[in-house]
Amino acid sequence: MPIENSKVPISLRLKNLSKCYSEAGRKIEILDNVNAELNQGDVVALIGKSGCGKTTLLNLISGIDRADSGEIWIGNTLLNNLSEEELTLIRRNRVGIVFQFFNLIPTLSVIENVSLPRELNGSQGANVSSNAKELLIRVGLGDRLNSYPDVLSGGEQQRVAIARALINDPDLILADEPTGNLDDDTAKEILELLLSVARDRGKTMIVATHSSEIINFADKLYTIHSGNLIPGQSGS
Amino acid sequence: MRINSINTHLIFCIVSLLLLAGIVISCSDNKDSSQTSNIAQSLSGNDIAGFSRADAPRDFIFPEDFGPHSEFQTEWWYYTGNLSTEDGRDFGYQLTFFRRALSPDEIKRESGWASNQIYFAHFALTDIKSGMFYSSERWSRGAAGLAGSQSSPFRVWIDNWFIEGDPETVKLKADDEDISIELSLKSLKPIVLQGDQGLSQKSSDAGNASYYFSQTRINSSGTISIDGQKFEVNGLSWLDREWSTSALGQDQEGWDWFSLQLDDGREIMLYQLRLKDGGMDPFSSGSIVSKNGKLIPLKATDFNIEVLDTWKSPETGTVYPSKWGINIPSQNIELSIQPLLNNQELLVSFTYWEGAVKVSGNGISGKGYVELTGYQSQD
Amino acid sequence: MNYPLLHVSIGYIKKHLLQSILLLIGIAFSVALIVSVDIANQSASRSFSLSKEILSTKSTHHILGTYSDFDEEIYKSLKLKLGLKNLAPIVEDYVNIAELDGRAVKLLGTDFFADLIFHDGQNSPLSNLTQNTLTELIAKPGAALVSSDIAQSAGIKIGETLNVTYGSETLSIEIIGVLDSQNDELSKSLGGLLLTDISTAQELLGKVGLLSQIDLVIDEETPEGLSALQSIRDYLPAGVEVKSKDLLLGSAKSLTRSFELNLTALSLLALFVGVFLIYNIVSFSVIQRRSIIGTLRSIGATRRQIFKMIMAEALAIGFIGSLIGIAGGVLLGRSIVGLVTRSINDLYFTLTVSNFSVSPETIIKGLLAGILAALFAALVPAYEASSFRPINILRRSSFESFFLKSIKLFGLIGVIVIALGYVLIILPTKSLVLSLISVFLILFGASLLVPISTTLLMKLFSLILSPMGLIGRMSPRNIIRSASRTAVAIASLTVAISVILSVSIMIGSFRSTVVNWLDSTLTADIFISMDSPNISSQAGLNPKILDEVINTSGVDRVATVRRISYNSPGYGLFNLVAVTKALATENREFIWKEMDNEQLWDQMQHNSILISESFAYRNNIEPGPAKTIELQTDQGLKEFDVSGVYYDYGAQTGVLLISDDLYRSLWQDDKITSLGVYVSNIDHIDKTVRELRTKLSKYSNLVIRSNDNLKQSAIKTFDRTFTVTSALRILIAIVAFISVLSSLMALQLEREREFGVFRAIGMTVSQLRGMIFLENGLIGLASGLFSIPLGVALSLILIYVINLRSFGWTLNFSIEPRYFIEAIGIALIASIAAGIYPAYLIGKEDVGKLIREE
Repeated sequence: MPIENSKVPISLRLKNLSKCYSEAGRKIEILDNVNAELNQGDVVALIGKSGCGKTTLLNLISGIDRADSGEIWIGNTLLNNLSEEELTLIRRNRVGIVFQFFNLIPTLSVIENVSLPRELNGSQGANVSSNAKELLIRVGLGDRLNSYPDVLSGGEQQRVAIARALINDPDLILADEPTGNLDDDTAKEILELLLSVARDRGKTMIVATHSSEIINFADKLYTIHSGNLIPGQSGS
Repeated sequence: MRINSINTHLIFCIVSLLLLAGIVISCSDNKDSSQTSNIAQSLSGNDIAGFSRADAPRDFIFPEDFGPHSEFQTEWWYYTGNLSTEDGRDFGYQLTFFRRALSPDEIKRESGWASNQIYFAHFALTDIKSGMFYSSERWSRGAAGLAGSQSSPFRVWIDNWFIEGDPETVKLKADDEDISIELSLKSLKPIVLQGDQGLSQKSSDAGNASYYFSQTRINSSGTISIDGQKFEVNGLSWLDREWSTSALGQDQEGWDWFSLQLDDGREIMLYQLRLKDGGMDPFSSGSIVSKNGKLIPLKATDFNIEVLDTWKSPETGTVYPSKWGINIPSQNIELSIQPLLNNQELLVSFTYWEGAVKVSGNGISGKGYVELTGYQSQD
Repeated sequence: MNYPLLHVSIGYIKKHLLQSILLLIGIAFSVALIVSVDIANQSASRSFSLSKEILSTKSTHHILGTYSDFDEEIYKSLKLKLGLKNLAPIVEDYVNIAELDGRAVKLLGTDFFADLIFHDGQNSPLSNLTQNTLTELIAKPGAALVSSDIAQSAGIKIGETLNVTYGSETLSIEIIGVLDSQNDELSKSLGGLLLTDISTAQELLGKVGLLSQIDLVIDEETPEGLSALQSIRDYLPAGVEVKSKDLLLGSAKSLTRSFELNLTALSLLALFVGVFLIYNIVSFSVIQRRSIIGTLRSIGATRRQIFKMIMAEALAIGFIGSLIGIAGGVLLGRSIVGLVTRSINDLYFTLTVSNFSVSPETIIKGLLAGILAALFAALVPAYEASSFRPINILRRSSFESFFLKSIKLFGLIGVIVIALGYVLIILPTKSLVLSLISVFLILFGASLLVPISTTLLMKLFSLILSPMGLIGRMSPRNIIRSASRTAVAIASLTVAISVILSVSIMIGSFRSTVVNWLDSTLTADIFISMDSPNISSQAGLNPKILDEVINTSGVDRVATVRRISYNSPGYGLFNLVAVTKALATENREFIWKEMDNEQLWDQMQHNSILISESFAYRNNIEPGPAKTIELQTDQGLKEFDVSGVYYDYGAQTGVLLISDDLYRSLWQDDKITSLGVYVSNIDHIDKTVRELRTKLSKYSNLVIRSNDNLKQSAIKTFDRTFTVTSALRILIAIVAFISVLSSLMALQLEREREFGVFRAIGMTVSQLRGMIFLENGLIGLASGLFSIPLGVALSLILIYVINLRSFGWTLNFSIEPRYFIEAIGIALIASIAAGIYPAYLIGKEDVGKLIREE
């Protein structure tokens, strides 16, 4: 493990981050010189219109995508110079991702889905499954351990996804429209769950959303507008 | 009887070889013989070297000379005749055997099929009353017992067609799908030697000639059948025997040949060789046989043949003469000749006209046979 | 299909060109196989009829001797006594051109004045000859016309001499012309021919006074024709028969029919595998387009329109693929024709004409096969597409769960189909077609069993692999989850591998049987025979050779073999083989014999004969006492006791074994086909061989070989016979390979999004690649494992049913471990190779893009 795992107060730092896409021969400056600094335990709401660059920003942070310029620091690790393989390991160990469409593996049971990132790390056995079980009980699915995703409701699937995001005890949780595919009541439950697990464990969490619900709970608020990350300001 | 009207190259080769190189030349009389001979050789594509030539008069020996003369290239036995039933229904017939040597000497070989001799025969019947004419042919190698000829006893045959007997009295037999003939023949006159004691000179070139004798009046009786119907018949036949090694005259187109048996007991044989330029070859000739068998030779200048009418074959489109006026001033003979049936065209491998005719004239009547060749358009 | 839907199709095909190309290749390959085998079969039987129609296309009947040439007087009598017309006499036999690697050609002599040939003007090959050539042909001893194919390959010119061997003689033939015909049909028949005058043929072949055949035209429809036929029958002496050409062709065709049928079955197997391939690709195309199709449905496209769209695509691809396949089949056919012709020459009869003709029927067959296979295979996917409801389009799993629910039903149907196939096999019949149908039923039934077997096997793998962790458990589950396609891929691979396996086992068993048989049969130390003997030729060695061999130092005793080809009304085409004692009974393996070898040989001096297994099988003679066989001999019709039935894997036509003494007393034949020499001192074999070679050098066309040498060459001939089968086996493997490649590739490519998720939650590229290869490997392994019982079962059917019914041969089942290793190896290679491209793409794909879909 080449990455130093020590916890530092500054959890995430974005420095002069820029990203542009070419679309139909035209360059679109989707993120333009973005700067931000998050402390350990910050819960951040990232809002903005659809297509404004929320997902792009999250993908850059998780190392799924690379920035054109600027720096991304997770703790004291600079992502820019890391290889694909190293980025994967960062993602696996220090970032937990919750998707809008849950993205569970259909051929794995609930507990296996949760254990997967841990097993990808090479750990196996009772320890892994007890951790997974613990997490699933925490998200309220202690009785569905051996079910398969296709028999779960959307809310239940997202709970599994939250448990999966936590299994490697990451520093950072990225949730991309985690409630976008759920009805209002369920959305609320899931959001509450996300916030409570993040706060319980003192995780830094960025929730990208276009719903205003989260604003009331977040420590910080960022709005992406025309490629700029504007602190505190809600678009609506 | 059906013969493929599209003659093949094979048939064409052999027929041209046999009929043109053989018959035409043996009947021809051409002054420019050396040239003709060469051209003819290349045309026939066959070398006459090694074959005997009819270059001098010979002693004819009978019956041996009825048999084959293999040292000569070409030979034939040519029977034609007019027959009628008791109640006067008239028929004409032709039964001709040809022999052709592919090479001068026969090589001794193991196989019974080996032979350098080719035989072919034409058989035709004319049913004057019903206006029908039938013709057919046979081909064979002169080997394996399938075809051949011999002098003692005299016999010439292809398959089951044959002529055999002591030459004065012979039997002939032939059949095909629709027709058959079986006749007993008895010669009524002695053999006549045509030309110069049997040497029928065709040109000034020595050897360009044939040996030629005839039986001009042969009593004939027997049966013919047509489409299953049998007829007992009697009448007169004519035999021409000829053998030679010769070639065709390039400027000749064909010939008209007449064998006429007059009711007064005389016979007339005439042939005229037609030239391509429309003229008459001066070597055309003929003969008259008197009642007692005496032969009077005729030169081309002794007779005159005039075509009085023509007939167009519906089958081949060929136009043949169909009426003649013949004038032999020295003998005070003036004849009119007319086919007993216009359509007596042989549709065999080589198309020609050979048919029964009737003769009338100044106090003269009779019957005979006429052969017309070279009328079809050449391509 | 209406215009916008056509656009959707074209757009899709353009975007997924690789899939379409694989589909085209798959269809093209299957069709090519069918077309090429059909061409080979048709060309082979065409070659046979052409070689019988060399001179007279008109002839309807042939007069033939039962076992030999006949007196030429018969021809004369038919013409002169019976007054028959339209005849042609023929003297012929096969000779070999040493310069052309001993190529067998026919030396045929006839009478060009025979009316049948003389008047067959339009069709005569002689029509292009000059009169000089014709004259020479007739009048010059030893002169012949040569067919242009020989002239070309031997580089012989007019006026040169061609040396051919016949028996132990060398014949010098003067080539005076080349046969050629403007007539296309005729020029085809003019291959492998030396045409001579009948006299020349008689002299060259030593058949003076004899004819091989008389061709004639008889219209059996008319009373005249019938009465002519009757009069011929009445006239012909015993041992000479008149047979209609159709009947002769028919009996020749029925001999080779089994051989050809087997090839056809193999080509149909390729199509069978091809159907799987088409199914896979079409259904993949449907799945890939589920959102487009869902959109189309939601904006008003009817189910019928969607169904038609998918079927129309299949039709178009099927059509184009078939066209490519036909072109390829014609090309492939050229080489297969050569192989088939060669096998027929080895096994049945000498073919001198290697005809290559492509009939319109073949083209139509290929086109229909390709299009129908494509339409048939597309039915299910097209139905699936049409049944997408706009609402659950995203749920591929609804079809999968339906499929998973049905696998038990499939399995049940599979069991029933297999049972049906089994019943067909055990039916008391000799029908080859039925046994081939049962092979297809069993393969089909086994394919239906694949889904359930796969599910069970994968569950087992999941347990076995669980120590490997989640990936180990997940891979088998992934395979089950996509069972509708993985099972089809496994089934196609299973079918192909089991066919390959069964053919390998069959050929291997056959080979080991033949090797054993050769060991027990070829007991002599040295063999002397004609080089390149022709199965249909009557040529033999000069009998003087026997004396010379006996009087060679080191020779202990000599056994002789005389083989003649027989065509009797009762027993069809077979070989009569006369042998001396050493080769008769001593080492023969009997299915049944009436008495011990010593007594048997005694009986064989008097009235007993032995028959080979295939002779017994074809003539329904149950091995056992009191069976007799009536044969035409030179002494008239004779009845022989069958005193034994023995194993024989020589000529397929069946063998009747007779003692040499009995043969020579009943037949007037002093020729020898081959000699077996026993040496007094085995250590001096080489010396004796050398001595014999020197002594016999004056005879041409002789081969003097030691025992080992002969065995090797016999096995070489055997291997040659199976070249076609082996070649087809490889081609089937190629179709299967493409099938597996395309389906597994499609399967992995469509999981892009899933892969994206794996990557997003922290799976490395190599972990993902490992998973892809693991899954594909499991699929290959499953196919390999399934193919083993299926392949063995098929090989049993091939060996004990199909071979017996095709050739009348019983083979000893023998199996080698390497066949199984090969089978599993091919399966693994094919499936793992299919993972290469998806695994490569994984590293290239943009993870963000993968998960951003939807």
